[in-house]
Amino acid sequence: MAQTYSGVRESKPGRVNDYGGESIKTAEAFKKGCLKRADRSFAQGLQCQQINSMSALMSLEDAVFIAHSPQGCVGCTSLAVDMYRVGQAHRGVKHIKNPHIIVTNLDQKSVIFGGENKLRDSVNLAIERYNPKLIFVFASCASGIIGDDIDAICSDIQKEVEALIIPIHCEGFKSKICASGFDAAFISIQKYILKDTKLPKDENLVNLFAPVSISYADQVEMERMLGLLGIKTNYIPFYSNLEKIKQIPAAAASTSICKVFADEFMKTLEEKYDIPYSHTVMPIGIRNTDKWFRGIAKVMGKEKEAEEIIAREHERVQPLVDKIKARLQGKRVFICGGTGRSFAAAALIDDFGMKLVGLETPTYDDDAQVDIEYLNGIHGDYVVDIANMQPFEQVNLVKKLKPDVFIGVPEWAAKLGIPTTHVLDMKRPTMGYDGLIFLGNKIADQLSNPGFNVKLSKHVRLPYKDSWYDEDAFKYIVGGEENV
Amino acid sequence: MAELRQIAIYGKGGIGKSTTTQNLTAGLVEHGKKVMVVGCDPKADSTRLLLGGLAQKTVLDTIREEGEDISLDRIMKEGFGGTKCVESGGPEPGVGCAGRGIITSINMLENLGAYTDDLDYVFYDVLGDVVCGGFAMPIREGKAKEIYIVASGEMMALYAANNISKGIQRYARTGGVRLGGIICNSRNVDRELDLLRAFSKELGTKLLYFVPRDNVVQHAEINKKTVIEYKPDSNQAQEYRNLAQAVIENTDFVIPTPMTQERLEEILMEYGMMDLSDDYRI
Repeated sequence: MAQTYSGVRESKPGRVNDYGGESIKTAEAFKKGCLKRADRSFAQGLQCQQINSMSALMSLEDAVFIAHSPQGCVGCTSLAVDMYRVGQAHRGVKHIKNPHIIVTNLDQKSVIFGGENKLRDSVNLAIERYNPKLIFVFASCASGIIGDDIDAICSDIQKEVEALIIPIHCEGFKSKICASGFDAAFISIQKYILKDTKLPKDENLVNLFAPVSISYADQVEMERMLGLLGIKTNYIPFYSNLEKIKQIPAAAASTSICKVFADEFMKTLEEKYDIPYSHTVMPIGIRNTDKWFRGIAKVMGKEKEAEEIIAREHERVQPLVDKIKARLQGKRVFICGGTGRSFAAAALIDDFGMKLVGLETPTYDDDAQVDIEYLNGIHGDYVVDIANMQPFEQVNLVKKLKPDVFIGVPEWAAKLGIPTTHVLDMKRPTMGYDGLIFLGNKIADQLSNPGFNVKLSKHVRLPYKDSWYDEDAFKYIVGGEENV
Repeated sequence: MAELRQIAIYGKGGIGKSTTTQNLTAGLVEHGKKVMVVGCDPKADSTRLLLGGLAQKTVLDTIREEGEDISLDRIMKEGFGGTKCVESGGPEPGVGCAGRGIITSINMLENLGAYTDDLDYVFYDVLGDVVCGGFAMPIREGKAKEIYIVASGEMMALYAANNISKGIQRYARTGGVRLGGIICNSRNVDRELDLLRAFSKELGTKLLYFVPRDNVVQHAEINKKTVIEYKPDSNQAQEYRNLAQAVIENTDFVIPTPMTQERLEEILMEYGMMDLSDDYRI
């Protein structure tokens, strides 16, 4: 029997979570297979699969999300709720709703005696209270360790109700790569909704998978670009619904906006439903937008049209880019983002003639290698920190490298007084040709007026001792030394 | 008064831990010792002989039904000779987490002040094998410092004893827990005494006592009594008194040196398989 993907990203070779070093040496080590999986003897908070599985689906219509977990495990959902509300506002929804989240509240007693009854009650309550089309049941660390049989409970209740009840195995301890949580969600979508049922193909329909961090403006830009090729988009799973998810097998092709979102799922779709896919880069910056656009155009057999559109778009945006370039040329940049976005953003800075000095990204893999080799060609050596945020390492590096600009997740760098631009705020444009202009202007504006961050740095102190900034930023990464 | 000795009893499932612990307790009681027995097994059968039946409500049942605001007398019953008896209990087979249950119960006992100053001994009678962290709770910091493993000359009993020793070794490195010896609950296996002595020596400990096999133990169990209570004049009652004496006098506490599977099999070959006169036919 063929191997089944477990949803744990570490199960595939060549994925590294914990590493720090110079970019050229890093790329060489990875190429030789010498970049070993390491660990951090000290680490700050990580995301877990459960929260990623939840946030991947939380904007689905007519759905209830049941976390079979202790209360604290849904603490992070407040962030996703905020995004969902803003997302609705951007989409012109008049009566903004909260997602329906229920937590089974596994406590000490439930852990000892089993929490299955609480889950049953919660599912029944979800049906009674919301009468939804979809009920997602998310496993947690606690329910996973005590072995509550969420699959059996779901299938048992399923016999009597119409709503689809979908268990998702996203126990938080399974993986340190946060994207594993997305995979767990897609594995369940395939198993419980699509169920290998093939549909007649719609030759113009493309599945566009988008993570929660994509703003509505970016969605519109992606749909606009694909529209220029005469492609209809099925934008999923965000702000979609059961019907749109059921349409997935009808598509002629798939692509994703993020490299680590639905990439494994798109492979499954190709295997089971003969849907080819394009897996390229996140469309940030001219080069990456071209690459992404060409990727899906090729799968759809519209390469010629794509080239014409790209030429037209270049003609339109290049003068605007040049204007921004005049403001940003030569500025030194530190970048921190998600797996797809950090590399994509690094490519964008090339459009503006900026110089990369440091790059932080959660996971290093074959895809990252392609990007890093490209970036090494432009920028030479810069520092690479393979870290799922890890602010203590980031501020250490930022203090030492003294970049002019910080692009990415700015919570900590902003407190150092450095001009920062968020590319992951999930609300503003960053992608495609139009997004590039918005983002470029935003970076330039920050540089010309960094007053807020400067003032912030005078009043806010990061929690680290001064002595930490003299230490090696990668002091706590243990094992995994490359044997070059 | 002497310091409280907290003792955990481990061993393969079905080897006779509960029987041995309760008879040993009865022996200690005869010596005038104050003893508490804490059953750490979801089956909750560790105090049956002392209490004259499975009349007791377990800690976890009580928590489940009445919440955590309970008094000590709800979960602690007095048994033979004034022994204090507690059963941790656990979830239904196949659900929940029995290990977490033991952790909760023992914490509950501490919070409720079960460890009174007049106690000389506390015994933790732990389910078959140390399957997870919860079952190691009795030997964690501040709890039992002495462990006895109940074994017999049967291979799987020794295999389990060796495995348990690995757990003890692990906890001994960080805490004060030590192995006090092996108690043989005889199954009348060939050369059992020699085998157990050799095995104990290899583990770096000693055979604390060899309890012979005697049917009176069965009779006493059917009557829900310890042998000492049921037939105080029997030979077996004296054996348990001797065991109690051995425990009282024991001062040899070691960090065990568990052996490899190969070495264990070597010892079995040497002692257990010397005389292969049996000719099994099916």
